[in-house]
Amino acid sequence: MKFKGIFSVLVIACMILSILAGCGATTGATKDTSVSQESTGAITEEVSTTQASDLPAEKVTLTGMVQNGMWNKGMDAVVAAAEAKIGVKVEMQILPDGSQGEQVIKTKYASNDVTDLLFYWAGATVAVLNPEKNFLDISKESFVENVPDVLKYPLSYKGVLYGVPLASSGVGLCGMFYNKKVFSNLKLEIPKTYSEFLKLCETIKAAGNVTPVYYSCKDAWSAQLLPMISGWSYCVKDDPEVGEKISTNKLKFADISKFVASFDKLKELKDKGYINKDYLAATYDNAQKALALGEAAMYPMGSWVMSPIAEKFPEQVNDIGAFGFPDDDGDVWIDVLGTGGVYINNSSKNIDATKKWVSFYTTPEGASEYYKISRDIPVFKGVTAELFGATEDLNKYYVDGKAALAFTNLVPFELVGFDKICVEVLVSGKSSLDLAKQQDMNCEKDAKAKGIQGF
Amino acid sequence: MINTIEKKYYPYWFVVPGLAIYFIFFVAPNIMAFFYSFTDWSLLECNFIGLQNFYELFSNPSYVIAFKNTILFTIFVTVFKMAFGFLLALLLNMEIKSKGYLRTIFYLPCILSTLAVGLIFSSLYHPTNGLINKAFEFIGLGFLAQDWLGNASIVIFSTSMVEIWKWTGFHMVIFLAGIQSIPKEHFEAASIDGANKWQTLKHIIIPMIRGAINTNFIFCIIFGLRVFEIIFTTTQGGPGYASEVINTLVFRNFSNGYLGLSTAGGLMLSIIVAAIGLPLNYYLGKKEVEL
Repeated sequence: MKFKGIFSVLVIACMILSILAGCGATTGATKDTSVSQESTGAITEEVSTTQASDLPAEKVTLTGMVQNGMWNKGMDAVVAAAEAKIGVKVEMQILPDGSQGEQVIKTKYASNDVTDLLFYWAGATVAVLNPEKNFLDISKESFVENVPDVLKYPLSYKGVLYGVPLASSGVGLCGMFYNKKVFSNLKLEIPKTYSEFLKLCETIKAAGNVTPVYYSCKDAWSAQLLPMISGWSYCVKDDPEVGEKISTNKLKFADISKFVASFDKLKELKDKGYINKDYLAATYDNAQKALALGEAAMYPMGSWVMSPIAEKFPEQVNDIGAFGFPDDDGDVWIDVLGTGGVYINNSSKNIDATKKWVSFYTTPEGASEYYKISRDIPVFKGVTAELFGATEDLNKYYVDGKAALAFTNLVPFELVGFDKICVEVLVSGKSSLDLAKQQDMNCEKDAKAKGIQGF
Repeated sequence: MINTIEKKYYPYWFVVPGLAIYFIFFVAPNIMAFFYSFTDWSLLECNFIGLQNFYELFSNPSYVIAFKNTILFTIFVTVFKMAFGFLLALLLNMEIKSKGYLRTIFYLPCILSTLAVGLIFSSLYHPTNGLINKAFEFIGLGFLAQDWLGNASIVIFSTSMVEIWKWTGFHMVIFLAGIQSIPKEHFEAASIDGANKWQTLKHIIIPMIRGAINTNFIFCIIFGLRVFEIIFTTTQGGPGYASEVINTLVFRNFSNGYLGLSTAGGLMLSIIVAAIGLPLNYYLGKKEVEL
């Protein structure tokens, strides 16, 4: 009986402790949000009583919102430098990543509880926040000169520029990454046309123990890269207005022959046996290892892959190069995934100070603070950064203007399910045209849900 | 002093808190879902759009695949869980020294976290490095090695095998309870009358555990139709759309912001489960034998 009594006390104690642990976590989270709300209240009070001034002695504090994954140490350095050199400080509210944070931002804009600056995506995700009402039109500002033209489109809405590029969400240059050692062993050269590329794959396959091209379809998002680099940039090169036409439903993806052909190319490499046998079970991590160690000769990806490769295989980072995927006529263009944006809110009580901060951030003085810490591609003119070798290879195309924005950035709706459709191209046996039509159906559904005109 | 009426009704007051929580967090949202599925609601707005969500559900090819996969999964899983569960219950009801330990071991998989099980089996099912294919090659049955999670035609069967592995123990326990509740006199009478094992099984055990069979059958059907975690953690509905089920599509639509469509999908699933489960429960219940 005594034993039973002690046992029941122990069980009750464990239950209470586990309930407290569960409660503790949630109260911690609610505490965070309540603290951030308090601080917003306190800071907006502070900002309204402080006068915007050019004297560094009198500091102005601005507020900004950003999602966790889009902020890094480089941006912290820019904020610190701005505080030191021009006396404008920015207090950041860090929100959760993914759709959770997006919902928070959408709700805040719906209830007009906004900060001075917004650091967020560009393109479709921003269009839902009603840019005409909420954001300041910055097309006539002097600092806009520092923004490369190719990045301006997704930061504009209905022809008016609202944002400047967000350095920490980086420009993604997409191309075919290759292992230089494998190429030099087999005495291969960078292919200038698509038929040369196929011959190259055949040579590598014949040589035996190296996979010509690596597909990592277990991480379905990575399957999108080959269609992007083999078709999307050429669609835009052939018709610079194609983004506009698709956005207003005057053209469908199924009508663009090079878009459908990019699915065919994705399948062709598999049918000819140029890819790894376990392509459906291979992950993004497996691909990095295969490329770095020379088990695979080539891998279609974007420049963001160099950071994890540098972390995991620091010895092999310089063995990796990249080239633009060629089309039939030898004029090679690469695909670019645009950056996020920095927007100024119309309701800010400190428009002048905000403009000063953005101006500092876009000029070499401020932007270089970012690039001292992060090895990303500069999103502003006049700034240099130390890039990885492969990124440098792709940067040449970017700097020469032989780059086109990906469709993801050119249309106001999301390409829902594109990653799954790319895998379907490989496994389902449906024709590329049918799958392009399915993509159109998905996009139409999203456009209707967002109330975009023309759908 | 408490008068007679209060004395009669005061026990009911004790269930009010529990019922209130149940109502607010379970019943009310289900009723609200019924109305929301006819709109295209989002955080900011809500417009009535009639049956458009349901039309979308039946016309989009990926939803048709999801319905087909869900039914296939349910049938496959029900057949094998019931069969293996019953077999194990019979075997572990016999007098074996270690039957206590064996029962525990067979029951353990169902208390494991489904996420962990999904991750482990993703690794086991890997076509070149996975243990299952390597084991087949080691014992010379290399021709049985498949791309378990990558082959679109067998992926739904591979995932159902994980589900079967995980939940057979649970059904075994229910069957065991049923078998052990049969009074010993029946078995004695049967052995006196000269019945062999098969006849005992057919004429005594199966009729007497009707209740357990019904319970297990309903459980299998309902949990088969509601499957989500095991598919999500092993294949995320892939490759392509090959292993999508209703719940993974509802989840994907919810993440994409099509809240009205996902509500309609969830409502559709509830209707299917109710339409299959309730009549089944009633029909099978009528055939139960009183002990």
